Amino acid sequence: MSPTPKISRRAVTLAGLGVAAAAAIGGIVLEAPRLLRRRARGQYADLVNRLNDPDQAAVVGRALQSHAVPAKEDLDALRAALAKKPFTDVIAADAAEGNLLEADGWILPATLAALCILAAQSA
Amino acid sequence: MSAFIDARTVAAGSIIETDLAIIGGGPAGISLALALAGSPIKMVLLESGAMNFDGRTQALYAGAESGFPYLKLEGSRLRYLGGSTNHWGGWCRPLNGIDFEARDWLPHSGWPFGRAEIEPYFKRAQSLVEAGPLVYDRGSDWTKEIGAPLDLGDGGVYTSWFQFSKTRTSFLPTHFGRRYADDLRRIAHLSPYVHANVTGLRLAPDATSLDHLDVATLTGNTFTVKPRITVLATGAMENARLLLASNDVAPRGVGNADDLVGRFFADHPIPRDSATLVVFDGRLASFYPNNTTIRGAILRATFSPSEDYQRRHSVLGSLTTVENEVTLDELGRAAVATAAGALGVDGSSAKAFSMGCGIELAPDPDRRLTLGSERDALGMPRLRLAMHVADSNFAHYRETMKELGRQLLAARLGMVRLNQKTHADWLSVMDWGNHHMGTTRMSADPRKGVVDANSQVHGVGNLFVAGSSVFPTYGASNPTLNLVALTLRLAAHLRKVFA
Repeated sequence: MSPTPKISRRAVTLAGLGVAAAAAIGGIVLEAPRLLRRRARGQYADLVNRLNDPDQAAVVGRALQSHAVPAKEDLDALRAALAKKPFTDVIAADAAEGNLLEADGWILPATLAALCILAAQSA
Repeated sequence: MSAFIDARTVAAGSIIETDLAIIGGGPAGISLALALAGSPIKMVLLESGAMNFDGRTQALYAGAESGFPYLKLEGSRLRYLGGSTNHWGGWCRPLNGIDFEARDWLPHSGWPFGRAEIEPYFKRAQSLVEAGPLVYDRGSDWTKEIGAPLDLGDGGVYTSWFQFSKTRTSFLPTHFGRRYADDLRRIAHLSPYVHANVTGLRLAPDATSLDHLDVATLTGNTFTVKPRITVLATGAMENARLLLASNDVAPRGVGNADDLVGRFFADHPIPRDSATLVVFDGRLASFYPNNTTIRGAILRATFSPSEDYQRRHSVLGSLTTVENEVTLDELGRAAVATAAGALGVDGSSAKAFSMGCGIELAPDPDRRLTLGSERDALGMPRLRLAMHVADSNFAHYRETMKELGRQLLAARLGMVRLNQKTHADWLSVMDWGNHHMGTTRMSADPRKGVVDANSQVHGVGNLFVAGSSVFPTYGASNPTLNLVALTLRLAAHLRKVFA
């Protein structure tokens, strides 16, 4: 029976740090586009930054120029809804209930369309 | 086996007596003759053309069109044995139950019977068009091994199914003339004539029955057919033309006391690129964009409004097919990325497809065929078509596609773009199904229809009409399978009449 090879605590620590560093670098690489995305500022930032990419949303928002910017009370209601339900569920529910808007032919949940309008305002 | 008789060789001025005259050797006329093959009824089939395309015969179809841009009248049909099945695409689908219903939101709607009345004839009709086993909306079960349809969840649009005609030796759909010529020759009590143009439906002096038919050839020969019963089966344009032009006894034409013959002409607009479908995960079963052959059936999935949705939202029928994959522009890419992200799904593999469609038109009395002043080589007045398509027809379709978009978003599966909006948009992508319908519409009420529920011309006891000209409303389904089923029903009725 051969003796079990000894692994030093230092080697284990270094290996662990190596794995962690690799994971961190990988994460940064994968998430870089998202991290580098512009974050919206201003009065609508809390809503617009719910979107993955406010710049992309602004492109959609510009196709909705004929629609008015959502009223303050509508935005307050949206903030209240988001306090109770995940953002993605609010958007899906909007679609399920048929609250839809058309952006140059694209059929969108009305709440999402409103956020796109805000993104265009904030851009 | 008897041969086809060349009408040019018939002794001029002769009178041919028969039990039944079938005018027209298209899918309706041929199906009727085949359905009566086992009966003792002595039949004459009168076909204007012969076995192949002939320019002079085809030119008899020329006419004039005005209004909403439409096809040349001589270009959207074929005048030789087999009729327009010589250039059809083979798309088949039975009409839905709602297509027969009177709908209060749809003026002039309602057949004198429901779909159940022609249901028993679909099996034989399916066999005649050679579309394999009768599957249609069992298509999802039939194609399980290939893939699953999109799970659209609750909503007004569902995946429905087309089937396709296919001959045994060719990838082309069944051309009735070529396919059934020998079967016609085998019917001992059928005399099939080619080059035989009926130029007049001559009524008895009291106008309550048809006395005889005038027949002419392009070589100048003329003779008479004297049948006990006649079935007019020359397509929705020529049926109207022959009825209107036969105005020697009834000044407005045969069956036209209420000025209905030629009105309510319809076709299916089939605009290209009507909408864009996006699936977020990029996965779409092959039976959406392609015809799929499985266990003897050629199937293709299509998006259709459910009957319940049509009733609740007052929308006309439509059938939307997925066509080719397309590349999205900047706005499209932004819309997909934004929507997928907001729904919490990965849209990085999304694929987009152009969609096409067939749209049902609302019945419109002003979409109309009348006789013009010009005459063809046989001296028959040529047709004039006043085409009229209200934008509301397209609005119905947009409503249905919006519902599909809603369902896809709610199911977090994908999304839809409505590609056409204005009148000019629709015109720029317009094509037509060549599905002529409606000009001798069916109604139990003589003031509202040209033929009754048995396809008999109101007031003319021995004259019947076969084909899609009798459809009072049109559905979105392609007409051939349905007109064949309806013709088989007429055959069953005629057996009783002759019994």
